[in-house]
Amino acid sequence: MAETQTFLRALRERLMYLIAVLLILLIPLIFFSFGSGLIEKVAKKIPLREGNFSGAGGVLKVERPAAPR
Amino acid sequence: MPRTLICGHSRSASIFLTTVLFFMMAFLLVGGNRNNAGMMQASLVYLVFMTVLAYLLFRSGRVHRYRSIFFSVYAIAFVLNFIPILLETRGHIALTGRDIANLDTPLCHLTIPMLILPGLVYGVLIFPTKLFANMGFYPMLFLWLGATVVLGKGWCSWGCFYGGLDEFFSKLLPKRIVSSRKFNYSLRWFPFALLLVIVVWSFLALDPVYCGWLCPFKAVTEFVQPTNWLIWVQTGIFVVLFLGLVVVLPLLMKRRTQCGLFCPFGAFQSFVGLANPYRVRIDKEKCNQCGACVDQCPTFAITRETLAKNKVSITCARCGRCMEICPRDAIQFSLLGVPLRGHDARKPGFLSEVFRPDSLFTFGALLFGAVISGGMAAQVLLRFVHLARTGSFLFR
Repeated sequence: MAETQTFLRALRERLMYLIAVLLILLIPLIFFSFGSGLIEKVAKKIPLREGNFSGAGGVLKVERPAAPR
Repeated sequence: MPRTLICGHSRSASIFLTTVLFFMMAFLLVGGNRNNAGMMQASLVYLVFMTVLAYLLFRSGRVHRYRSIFFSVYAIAFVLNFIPILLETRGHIALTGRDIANLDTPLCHLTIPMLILPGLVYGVLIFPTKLFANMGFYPMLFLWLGATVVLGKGWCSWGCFYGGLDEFFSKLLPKRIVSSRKFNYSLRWFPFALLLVIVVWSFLALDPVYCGWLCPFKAVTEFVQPTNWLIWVQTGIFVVLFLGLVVVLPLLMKRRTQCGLFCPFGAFQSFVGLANPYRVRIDKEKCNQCGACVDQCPTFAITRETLAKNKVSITCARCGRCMEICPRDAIQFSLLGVPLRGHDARKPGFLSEVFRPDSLFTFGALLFGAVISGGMAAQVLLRFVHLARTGSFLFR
């Protein structure tokens, strides 16, 4: 039992260090994704549209949609 | 003040970490500008600056000192670049009704908490920006998501292009003018209350109320052109908040008052940043409750009460100040699920040093910070060259 616990603890530690290294490798991927068109590809599947602003008097107001989706 | 015990890296580990970081930064900073000779040269200068800073940080272990230099340079570069870009593209800084109607407003991360609920319920973006423009919604959203995974709440000390401004002002005076001994630390929960108010208010009004009424950083970016008394009131509020929270109080208290006591995005990041596996932890075996960290934490994240429990608040922005100031090296970056062994307890060796949690966190944070700031810093360098040659800070 104690051996299993020690093994699991060691495994968890190694996993955390692996995640830490993967996070560093994720950084170049994040910045590459900006030029790759990946963001556009993913974002187009999200049902979100730009607001319609009157701009009158410079107040930031969006027209209230007729009904919730 | 007691003598501090700071654990830097050995010369070989520092050189190794800096070399790997140099190549990764070079790949991302210089490689991205290979079609533009001017930007490439300016990026090279910035790359050298960041490499020197990284070596000094790893070798000395003074995370806060060298991060602070980077963070201040980054914020100043952002402001010096953002305003000229507005002048070049729009011809003016103040937002007009036409700019708003044309969705010609760059979005920043501070707006994100207010956009989530209306976006989910109504499927509409309540900020006058374009979805896919350069500084539009999706690029900023993906940048923030990436930063949250990589840095967590560390965004507030390594990635936010506003945070460096209060950091800069908090470093200007050599000594504190206003003591924080009698400071009421429960004020650090104010950003959470403000976050709740602006999220609910924005959802009900379908209006990004924080941007309209409270954001102090409009003073150094853009603001709505005052055309009626209401906008004049809003203008007065953001000018007072900027001068008070970003300039005067950091100068007097030598703490980041805007980030620690006001920023609702920081409160939001305290929650979502828990997705990141890094934590700042206090070693109860080593800590003698001297309270040096309580007095020095720039974002008010350590109090006498949290220290008694050997914990730091959820609001900790991973700036590294407590680690620098602790006389017993009791505070360290750690990884979730990994016991806090201390820098001296592990078997000494090259790999043990390179794979220390603080090495991994600062490496990633420096890389992220360098890449996100690289374009702005390089462009500002080019602007200064342009200023020297033509007498104008604007490119056109």
